[in-house]
Amino acid sequence: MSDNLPAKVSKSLFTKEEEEEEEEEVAMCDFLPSEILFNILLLLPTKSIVKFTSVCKTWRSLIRNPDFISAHLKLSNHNQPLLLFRFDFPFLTQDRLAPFGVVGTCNGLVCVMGDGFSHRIILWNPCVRMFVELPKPNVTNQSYGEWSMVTTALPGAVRLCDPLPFVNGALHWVALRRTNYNKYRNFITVLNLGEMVFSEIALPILLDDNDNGDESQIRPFISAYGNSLALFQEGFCTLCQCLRDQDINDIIDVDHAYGYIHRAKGFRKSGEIVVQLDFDQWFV
Amino acid sequence: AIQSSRFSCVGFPLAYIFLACKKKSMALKLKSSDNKIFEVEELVAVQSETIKSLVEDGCANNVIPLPNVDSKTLELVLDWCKNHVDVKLDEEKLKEYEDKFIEVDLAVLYDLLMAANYLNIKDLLNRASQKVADMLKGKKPEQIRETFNIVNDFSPEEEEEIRKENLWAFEE
Repeated sequence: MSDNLPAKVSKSLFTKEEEEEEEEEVAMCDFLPSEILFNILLLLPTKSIVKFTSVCKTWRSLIRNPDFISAHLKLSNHNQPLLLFRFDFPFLTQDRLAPFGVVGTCNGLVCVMGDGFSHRIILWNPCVRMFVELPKPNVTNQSYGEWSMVTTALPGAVRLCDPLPFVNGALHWVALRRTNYNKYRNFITVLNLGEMVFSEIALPILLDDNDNGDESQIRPFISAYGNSLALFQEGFCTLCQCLRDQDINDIIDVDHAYGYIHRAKGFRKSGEIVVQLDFDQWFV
Repeated sequence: AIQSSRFSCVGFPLAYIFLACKKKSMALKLKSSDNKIFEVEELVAVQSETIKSLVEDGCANNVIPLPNVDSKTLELVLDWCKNHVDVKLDEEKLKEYEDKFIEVDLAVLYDLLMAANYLNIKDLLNRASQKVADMLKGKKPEQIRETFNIVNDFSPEEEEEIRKENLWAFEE
């Protein structure tokens, strides 16, 4: 160690009495300001942090503090390398024929729904391996921790339940409607969750010439992209468009070199797209 | 000669060359908690945001007292600052310097953390925090308590409860 320290310092360190050294070490835990400890613990992986909740009460309350949790989430969110994990659901199904399905993810939480007729809804955090089961939907007024129901006529037939992208305070999904000429057109239905009102976004015409203006065979797919929506189309030619402020602007053509693209799964924070090529192949 | 090599090969000459190019560089006087006076170039000292705001407010004409930092820690901190004056310094050399610098025992590391926090020197604070984090990583809670002299204030039942709740995290 003496090599690494300037002469005077290392000298003063070694002439120091041993009791004094020990005193300093005691000071480490008692007086290390919580803001410094906070920043140190932020640098640790989730597993270590969960383990360290059993060090002492001060550490436990620091780690379980919501401010700490969100700061840690923010840090670990920044474009870490892609990893594919396999997580087994920690909860058991009651009905083998109707397994759980993933509804969506947000801030590292996974919402899982299913289990036959019981329709259990579970929020699951795979990182700390904990989950809570949400209470059954009960039609009540809107308030925290309770469910509410919206009753209104839907403006069109709803396509299959993919996760509904939540952008700018509204849920979005692709719907289909019959036009005057007995043809079908796709459009996006928007449900503003603040005001609980529906609106629509028209989609560009998605078809080839030989489809005679009937879009019922086309399966567009939307996904959240920052504060915009991205639109994909199944097939060789995947087109990606950003819908911002209810207007279709940016049109980015995705490179078509990868063959048949089954479906785009979503975006990374860096803007890269994760697409599903086949049923078991992934590409970024 | 070994001890001074770290000063001469990276720190002083480059800092001085850089300083010589500047039109004027004031010298500041810093006083440690044990009343030792350190005379340093302004460019070196203002890497501490705390000192920088004192300079900007015109409060740095006399000796600047630093009652929370002792002389041995201040000497280390100023050495760090001297080596970080010119950020365009050879990155590899700088990393080598930082790695060597931070190889200190826990007591010194603690002093550095406190000083970097008080003087508000971001890169030093980050580096020292990272060092502590590296020391913590992979350790068992019992080892952490031992290293940092932390008193276990959980009852055995409470501790067992936490362990049970998060069994996966305690697996090797």
